[in-house]
Amino acid sequence: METGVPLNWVIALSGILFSIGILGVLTKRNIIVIFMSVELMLNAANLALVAFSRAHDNLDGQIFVFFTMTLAAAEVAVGLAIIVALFRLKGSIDVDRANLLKG
Amino acid sequence: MAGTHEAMAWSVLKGSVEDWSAILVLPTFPLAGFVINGLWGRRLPKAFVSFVACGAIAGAFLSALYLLTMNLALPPSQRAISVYVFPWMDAGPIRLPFTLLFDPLSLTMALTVSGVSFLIHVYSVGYMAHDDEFSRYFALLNLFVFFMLLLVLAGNLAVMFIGWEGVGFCSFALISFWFTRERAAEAGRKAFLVTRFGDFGFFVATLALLAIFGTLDFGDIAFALHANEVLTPWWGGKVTAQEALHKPTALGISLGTLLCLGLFVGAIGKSAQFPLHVWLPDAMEGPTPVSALIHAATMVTAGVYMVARLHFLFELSPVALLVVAVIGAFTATFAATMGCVENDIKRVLAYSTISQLGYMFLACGVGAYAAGIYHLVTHAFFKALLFLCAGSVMHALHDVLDIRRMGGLAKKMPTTATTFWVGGLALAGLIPSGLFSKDAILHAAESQKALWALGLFTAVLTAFYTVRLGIKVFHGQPRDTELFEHAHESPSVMTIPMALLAIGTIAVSILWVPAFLGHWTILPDYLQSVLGETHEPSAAEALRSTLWAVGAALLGVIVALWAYAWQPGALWRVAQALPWLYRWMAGKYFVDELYAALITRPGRCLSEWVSAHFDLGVIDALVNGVGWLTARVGERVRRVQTGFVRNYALYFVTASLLVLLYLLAQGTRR
Repeated sequence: METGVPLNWVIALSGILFSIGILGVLTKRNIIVIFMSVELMLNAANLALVAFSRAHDNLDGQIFVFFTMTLAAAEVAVGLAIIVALFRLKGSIDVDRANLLKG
Repeated sequence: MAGTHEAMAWSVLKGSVEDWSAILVLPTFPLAGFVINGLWGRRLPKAFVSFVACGAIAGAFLSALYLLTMNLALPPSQRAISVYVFPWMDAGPIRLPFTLLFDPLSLTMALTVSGVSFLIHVYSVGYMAHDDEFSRYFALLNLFVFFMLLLVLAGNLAVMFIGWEGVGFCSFALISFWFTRERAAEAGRKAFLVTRFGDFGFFVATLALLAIFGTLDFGDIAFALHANEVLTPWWGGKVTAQEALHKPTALGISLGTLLCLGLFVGAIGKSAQFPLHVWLPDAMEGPTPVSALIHAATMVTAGVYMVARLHFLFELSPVALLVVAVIGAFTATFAATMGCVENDIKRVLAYSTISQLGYMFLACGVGAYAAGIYHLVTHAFFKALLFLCAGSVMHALHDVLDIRRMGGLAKKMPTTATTFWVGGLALAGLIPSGLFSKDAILHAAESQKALWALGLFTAVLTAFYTVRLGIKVFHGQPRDTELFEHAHESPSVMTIPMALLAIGTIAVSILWVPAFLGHWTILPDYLQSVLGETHEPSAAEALRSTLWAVGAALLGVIVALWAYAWQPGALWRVAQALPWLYRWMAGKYFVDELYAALITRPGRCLSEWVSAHFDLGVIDALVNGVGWLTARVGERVRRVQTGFVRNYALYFVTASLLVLLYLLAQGTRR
């Protein structure tokens, strides 16, 4: 890579975004925030893929990102539907209240 | 060797099933009857069930007759044909095809079995008319006839063993036919276990024969012995057949003797000889026609048939033959003494059966196989007849068996009484055919004076207990007037088979008439190609032998008449004068008690100990322990599943991090 932001920096950003996503998933009780955190993790991965693609002069990574975005869109559709169903069932979007399945 | 020329007489030809398919028809009839009545009998009317059952046996009998005419049309040297039906067990060097034997001996047996069982089937229609389990009874009876025909038609020991075990099972199932009665269930178990004990000897000897000869085919073994073929037995090397059987064993007897004794243990169990006779008297718990068919006329003779069939093997071992003769003669006397003091009408006949089977083994043991088979055939007729008479009496008296409560029944049941006396006198050896067959055996045994004396003594006892039974049941004053008042003659479906058996009892005597009455030797001539030459005595010799036998029987009759008709009570005083003798005889020599003390009770104790300690302490503990462990682990591990999605996510992340760290560590090491 001749010009622009160095690869390491982009990878570091990607790692930070991913960690924020994980922390969000692990700590939040609001299911919509958790959902957003998951999206954040997906995009952190996308960022890493694009960065490596550019660094290696190989388009495979970018093509992979397209797939990821398609998948994310589909996941949003399903995820939001589940959230709506959960809200209808429990009257709340607190994940801790969906705790029936336990040993 | 003594057996060599005998084996020569019996050369078995190989036949294919295409040429001799008629032999398959014979056992198929009763099998079809079993299938029809066994599967659908409950839903079919009784008349149809009885038609199927009797028709199946009639079909078998007619096929046997047809096969007999086919066999008689062949020249005498080619009458033994081993029919190859299908390859049964083909495993490397071991070849056990399913073969049936089409020869004079098997046909004689098949005719006797199917003929007598047909009459007993017909009788059963009347006897079992009011039983709820009508179809189960006839299905089992047909299955029994099927296995018995398989046993006698078997071309090798393996097929014979199927029949052997099959009749054992049917006997068990029919003894405990009324299984809700504790005593019947127990008697069935006892019969099964005791005969199984004998079958073990038979089975081990069969396997040993297979390991020596590489075949179980009767004809092949006979030929191997005759030609003294070189064999490769299990202990390796190459030896000739005669050498193999003369190989000494650790017990101090030759291998051949050991094999024959093993086979004979099977015969002892099946034919209820001492010391395995204990099951037969108890087997009388079954329905009376079953006693007539299985425990008198057919199954119990399987042991005699087997010894005659394998005579070429027994003849190589004089020791084994002597054992057969001694056991036979001893059992004949031993069982007859118990029959003299028994008060149960069926048990008297059971002891008499054991005793007569002893005669047959005595005949085989002294080499008079044809005489043994002749007595087998005549005994099948008159003993079946006697049992059917006993059944008729029970039918009239509502299942009373105690002869002390009977008496004078001849007035009420003339047909039963007449036929009983025909069978009884034949059994006692006073009229043909029992006279001729028993005489043939006693004559053959004359060379062994001690055995002959035992045989004669048994003839006295036989006549005594038969006449005693007849007088107590049918003559004198009725001892239980109420029973007597209600007694009636049985329906004709029962009396006609009895009359036919009575006619048959007399008629079979034409098969072999002693020399002084003419030269009729149909049966020994026919069996000669299988069993070897029969020594036919001169007229004077035969007359002397017959006079001895008749004299012995008359002595028994006179004693019985004296004790029960002329001087009633006289014998009781004799019994009281010799209390120990009476106690031993009435107590059946305490053989049952001995077995209970030596085998049953220790066995029970051992089982109870094992059940209490090993089963509960080890097996159950292991199984329960596994369950307990799983439950405890589950109790702990279930806490992991909290139901909070975020916890699960944390596990994911932690695990992923661990994997990541592991991969990193691997990467840096490289």
